[in-house]
Amino acid sequence: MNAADTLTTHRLILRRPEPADFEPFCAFMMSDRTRFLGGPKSRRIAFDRLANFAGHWVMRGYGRYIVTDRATGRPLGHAGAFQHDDTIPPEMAWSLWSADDEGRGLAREAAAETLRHYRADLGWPVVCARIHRDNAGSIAIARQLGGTQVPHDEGDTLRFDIALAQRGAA
Amino acid sequence: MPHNSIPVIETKRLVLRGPEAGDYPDFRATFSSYRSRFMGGPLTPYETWMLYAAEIGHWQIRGYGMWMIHDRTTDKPLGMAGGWKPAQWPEAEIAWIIWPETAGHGYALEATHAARGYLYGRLGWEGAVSYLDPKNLDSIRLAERLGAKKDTGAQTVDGNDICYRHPSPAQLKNTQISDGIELEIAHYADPKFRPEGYALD
Repeated sequence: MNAADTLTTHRLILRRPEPADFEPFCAFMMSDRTRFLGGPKSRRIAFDRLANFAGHWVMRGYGRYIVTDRATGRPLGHAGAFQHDDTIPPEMAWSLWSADDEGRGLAREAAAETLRHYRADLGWPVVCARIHRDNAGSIAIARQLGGTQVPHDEGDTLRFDIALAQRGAA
Repeated sequence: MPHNSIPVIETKRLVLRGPEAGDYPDFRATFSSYRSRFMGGPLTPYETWMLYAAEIGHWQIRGYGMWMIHDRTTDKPLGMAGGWKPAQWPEAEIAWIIWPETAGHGYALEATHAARGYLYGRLGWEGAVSYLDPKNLDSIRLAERLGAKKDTGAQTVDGNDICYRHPSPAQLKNTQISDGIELEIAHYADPKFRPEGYALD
């Protein structure tokens, strides 16, 4: 079953990527905000990555949502699952593209809504998140979303698994 | 552009459709092999998957992209051809790749000719280029069979490639170039006239 094209929360609308997302996404990718994701990245890589997001939806039937302000439609970031490697669970992201939008719980609100959808509507058992060990803000969100750290052998990257089925039963 | 609205192009022997998840194994086989050496490969499994997703996503960002070429009779995927313009590409490119086991039947010529016709005729392109590895003689040969000419003054992607400039829509309209292409495709389609002595895309 495919994921919903659109999810709505109190403050946000999550939707599939669109061409107009490229410039704000590119600004994020080329900024210091991707320092924990191997960035800053080039414009070329930013284009490929947004194309990856869009193509993933076609390949898998789910993918990264673009998180937009429910009132204005302004794109704020991206959130949702991505899976290029079948040997680990779908991998989550929750990124805000501008520092100005931090501090109001928007990333967590977006990620929590995608997890609710994956659990309640798609019946997924588990997702994971790979996070740089110095990215304290993102690690905090992973824990708030019910993530537990699992052994992972990949340099400075930590892995958190978020069990969805257990949360549903609790 | 929503994925299900990617146009379908039909030629005498081929059907060109948007790339689907089910076509991925052939793409992976080619891009993880030496066959892809002129297109940045061979790629790792991660790079290959991401590139295929980007091939699909390119359609949604640009409104055009690379079609998957299928045999019209058997539906077997044969390769890809179409328009390609990632960020920082100097100009919109017409690109092609044929899966190794299906090379030598003129499929790339037939598919790319049809794709170029669509990009020119339906999307209003005024021209196009192809960025080729100077060692990729089969692709240089195909560019020349398509009427493209080396443009030494044009900007290239990264200096390691050469730019071939395609004939304009006017130069392709009922001219010797277009007649020659049609004639060659017709000869491939008719086994009595299949060219001998060289294997070409």
